[in-house]
Amino acid sequence: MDESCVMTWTGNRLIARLSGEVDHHRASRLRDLLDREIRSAAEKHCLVDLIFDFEDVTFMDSSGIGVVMGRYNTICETGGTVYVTGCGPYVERILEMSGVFLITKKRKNVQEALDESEGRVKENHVH
Amino acid sequence: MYTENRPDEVRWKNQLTAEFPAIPENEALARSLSAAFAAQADPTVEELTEIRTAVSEAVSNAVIHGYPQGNGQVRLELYLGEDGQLTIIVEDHGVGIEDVSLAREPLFTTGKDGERSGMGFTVMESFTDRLDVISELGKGTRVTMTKRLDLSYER
Repeated sequence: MDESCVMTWTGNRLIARLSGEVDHHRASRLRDLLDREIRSAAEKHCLVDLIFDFEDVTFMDSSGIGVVMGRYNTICETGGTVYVTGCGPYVERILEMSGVFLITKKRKNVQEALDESEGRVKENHVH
Repeated sequence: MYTENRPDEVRWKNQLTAEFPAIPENEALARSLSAAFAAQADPTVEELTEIRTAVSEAVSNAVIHGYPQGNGQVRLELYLGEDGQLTIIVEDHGVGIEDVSLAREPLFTTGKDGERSGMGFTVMESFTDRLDVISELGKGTRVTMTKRLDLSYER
C-alpha cells in the first residue's frame, strides 16, 4: 500500500496529493503529516490556501471526510480556502454525503484550483 | 451472542468467517477478504467498491468505538446466498452502543478530537441494501449488511 502524501508548495499554497487507500488507519498518519506542515507554515504566516488532490486515491471511506474537515478548520481560521480536486465518483460520493463541498471548493484538477487561488490572492493585493 | 440473526444455513452457497485483532491494520485486510469473497458472484466494479467501503466503515467502527481501550477481536462473517445476496456481519465484543438509533444519525459521533465525521453508518446504509445494528452495552455490537449482487436474477 502506498503510504505517501506528496506535499508541494506553490507560493503560499499547499498542495497535498493523496494516493492509494485512505482509510481510518491511513487517515491518522495523513493528519499528522498535514498538520505538521500547516502548523509550521502558519507560524511563519505563509499559508493561504490548501489544495487537496484525490486524483491518485484508489479507495476512500468516511475517514477521508475527517482529513478534509479537520484541515478546513485550521485553514479557515486564517481566512484561507480549501480546494478539493481530482475526485473520482466514489470519493465525490463520500465527500458529498457529509456536505464537505458546502465549505470547500470542488475543482476539476489542481491547475484549476491553483489558477483560481492565485487570482484571488492577486485580487486581495489590489485592495 | 445474536445467533438468531444469521442467514438461514440452507440457503447460502458459500460462507467465510474470519476473526482478527481490532487493530487499524486489519481494516484493509477485511476489505480485501470481502471483495475477494464477493468476486465469485461476479459483481460490478461499482458493487465491489461499495462492499469494500461498507466493510471498511463497519470494521473501523469496531476498532475505534468497540474497543476504545484497545485489545479485542473483530469477527467478519460473509455469506453468499443462492439468490446472489451477500450478507456481511461485523461483530465485536466491545463496549457496545448506548443509543443505536442516535448513533445511526448522520454526523453523530462520540469522537472528541473533531476528526471523526460521524458518517460511518450513513455510508454503510447507502452502499448496501439493508443495515441492521444490534448492540448491548458492555457486550458488543453486531452489524449486519445485506446487498443484492445478481440483479439480473430478478428478470
